[in-house]
Amino acid sequence: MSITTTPLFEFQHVTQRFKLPQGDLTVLDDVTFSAQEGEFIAIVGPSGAGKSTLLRLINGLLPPSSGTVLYKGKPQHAINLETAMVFQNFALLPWLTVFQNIELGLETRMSDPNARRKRVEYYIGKVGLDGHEEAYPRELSGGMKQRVGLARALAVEPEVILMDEPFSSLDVLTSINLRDELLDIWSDRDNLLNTVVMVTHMIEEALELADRILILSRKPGIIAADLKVDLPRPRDKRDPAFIEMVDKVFSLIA
Amino acid sequence: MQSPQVSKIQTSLIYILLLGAVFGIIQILYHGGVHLTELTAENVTIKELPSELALSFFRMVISYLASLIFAYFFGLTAARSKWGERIILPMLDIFQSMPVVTFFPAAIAMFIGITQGHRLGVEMAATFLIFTSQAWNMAFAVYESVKAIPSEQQEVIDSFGVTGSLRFWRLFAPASVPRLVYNSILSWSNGWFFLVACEIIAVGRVKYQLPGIGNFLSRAAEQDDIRLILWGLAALISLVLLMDYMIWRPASQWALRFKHDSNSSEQLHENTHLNLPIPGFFLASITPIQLYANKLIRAFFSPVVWIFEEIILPLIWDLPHYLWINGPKAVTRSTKIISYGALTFLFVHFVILLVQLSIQLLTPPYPSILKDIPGAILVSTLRVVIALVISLLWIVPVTLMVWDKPKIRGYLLTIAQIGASLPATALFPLIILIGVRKFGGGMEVSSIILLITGMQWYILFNSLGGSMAIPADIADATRSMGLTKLQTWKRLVLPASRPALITGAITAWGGGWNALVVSEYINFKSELLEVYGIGALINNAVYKSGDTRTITYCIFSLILWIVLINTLLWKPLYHGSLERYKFDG
Repeated sequence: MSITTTPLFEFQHVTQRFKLPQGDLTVLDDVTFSAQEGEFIAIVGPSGAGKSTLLRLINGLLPPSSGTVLYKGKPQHAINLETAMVFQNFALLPWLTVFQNIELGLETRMSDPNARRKRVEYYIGKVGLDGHEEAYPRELSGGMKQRVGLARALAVEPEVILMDEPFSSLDVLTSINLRDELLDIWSDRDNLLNTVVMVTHMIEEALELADRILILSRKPGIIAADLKVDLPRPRDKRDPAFIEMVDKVFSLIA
Repeated sequence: MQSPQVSKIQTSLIYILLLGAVFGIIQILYHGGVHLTELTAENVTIKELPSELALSFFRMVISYLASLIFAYFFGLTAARSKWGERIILPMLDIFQSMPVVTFFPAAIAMFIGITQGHRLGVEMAATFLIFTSQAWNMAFAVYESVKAIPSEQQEVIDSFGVTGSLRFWRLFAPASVPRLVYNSILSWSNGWFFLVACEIIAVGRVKYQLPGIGNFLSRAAEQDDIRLILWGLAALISLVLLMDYMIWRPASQWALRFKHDSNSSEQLHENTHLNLPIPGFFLASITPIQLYANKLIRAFFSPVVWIFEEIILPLIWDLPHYLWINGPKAVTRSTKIISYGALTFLFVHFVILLVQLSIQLLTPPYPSILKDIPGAILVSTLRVVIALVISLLWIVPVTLMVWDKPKIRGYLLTIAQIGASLPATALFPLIILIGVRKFGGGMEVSSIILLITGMQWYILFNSLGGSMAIPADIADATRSMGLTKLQTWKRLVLPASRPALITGAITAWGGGWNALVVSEYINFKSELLEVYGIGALINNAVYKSGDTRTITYCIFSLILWIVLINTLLWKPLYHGSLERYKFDG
């Protein structure tokens, strides 16, 4: 008897078209790939290559125009509650406090308010937001807002976390800090979180974080390359192997 | 703003036509005596429809042009001078929140007094009233646009030494085009509402009639002729839509050129889809017909522009400037003395008038009606509140249903835009005829229905607009979290549409007070349909007792009440919600 591991999720001949006034636009064209549990996947590619679309297909925000998205072997028809998204521009509700924003996704999942509060408090601590529970988003810096976005996603304890250019609205120093913290959280096995799919347009960011890089191309919207990143962690940007890898990815995109 | 390319012959032809039309109308007004005094006994027929509609339209054009001149004069003065700002702005603000229709009966009385009973008095009162529904809003547009001119642009113009009317045409006029066009569309719709209201109010046992489409509709209703009413409505609606299509739509497209281009794509989006009360199906693109219409209109207006550019503006801007800067000292001094003298004289005169009026008002015996005023205002307020609540009761659920369905929302928005641009007052005769006469419903119910027809579109329009402004990523975020419908409504859609909903409610509230006066007191056949309230009180005072003091008391208390509610309730509510419930990325 052979052991076959079912992929965590799987794209089978997925095509995504959008109707535009100028005509149909095919963003993803017959894309097939699968992801295993525990992977940290980065999706890179030029703008308009369908990176965010791919993320939304995993989450179920978009139904594919054709083809199937499987989650744990089952075709997906609605929002997948085992996944949670982190958005480039944070997507926080301005009229809710930090606490309420993080609690939002839990309201449907946990009926016990006490357990819910504990959970929110735990993740507020995890992302370093202690003392800001009652603040409103507009009172926070960009980096703090993205911590709220991250905590909101983590708090539902998803199996997959989907990140759509999570650091590109932040200044350089803040994004370095937040990247390190994300790696800490991901490598900390206490958390249920162990699968991450992240869209980025920064090659170095992808190589610093991910185990695997999917390079999407534009017109046609296909997976141009699927690379394993075996560099040892923690990764050093000055490491010749790292630099070599950057060049390789760069040549594949350009 | 380039003057359009029109040949001299065309220009002179249009001039002659224009002059001829003006003279013709003055002739008719003075000597023609078109059903001037007594109620017309003959039945109204469909043959009168074109001329009645034309008359109404003409009234609108005159008032609009007057508003335009007013807007530029006062808007610019307020924007350019500290004193002007301090005096003009608060006045505009108060004027804007007043229920203008309330003044109509009083205005008729006044203008008829001035013209000694001549029909022209009613005509002037109507034009004046329409003007008051259009001018403030447009003056604000000019003021805010000129204030918003980036200082760099201002400095460039100054550094080239551009002054006077040239400065107006190169800087102020273009800068104010986008907002002015937008506010003109609102003013134009307002104007129709008031026009029809005036024409309806003037009907009845009063000796004075105002021929026009509103008059046509009321008389058709008195004849129990629903078909005639429908014809009248169809003609009016066609005219309103045609104006949208032929004038406002090309104008707002043209106005986009004058926008400062910082994040222009967003503003463009906002403008084409949200702000303009223009039906969606007109938005696709400009058609050749519209281009042609645009040409015609520009040809038509070129003489007006010419007069404004070559005569009025130089008089206002260049002459004082010339005298001030270049004139010999003696001239400067004498102009100063004369203008200050004139101002002082006017001011003293005004103060004396005010004192006289107060003495007259405050000396006993007080009219017995005085004690009725608070109660009447309360009842009327209740009526407006009920209409507001009923409107909200259907609009909020509809917004919740369609906020994430762009197609249906688009259709609804189109309906709301058309609804808001049609004068609700035009429906009054039909509603009265059906509601009160045919189904025997009480006037109380009918008056609230009348209010709702005047109020709901503003709320629907704003509410849908507010739900449209929800950023896509925030909508995605709540969806991806798997929030239930109920939670999404409570946490996202309701808070997000709150500022817009309040804006809509404020606009509707203002419009409601105006509809109120018409809806509380209607002459139907020779019967008087009225419900207790401040509107009925005012109309009664004007048409029955004719007591100026009572009228003044009623109007002053109503204004006071409305200003009070605006400052104590709506303004804080609006600012509070704007602060808390806006998306700031």
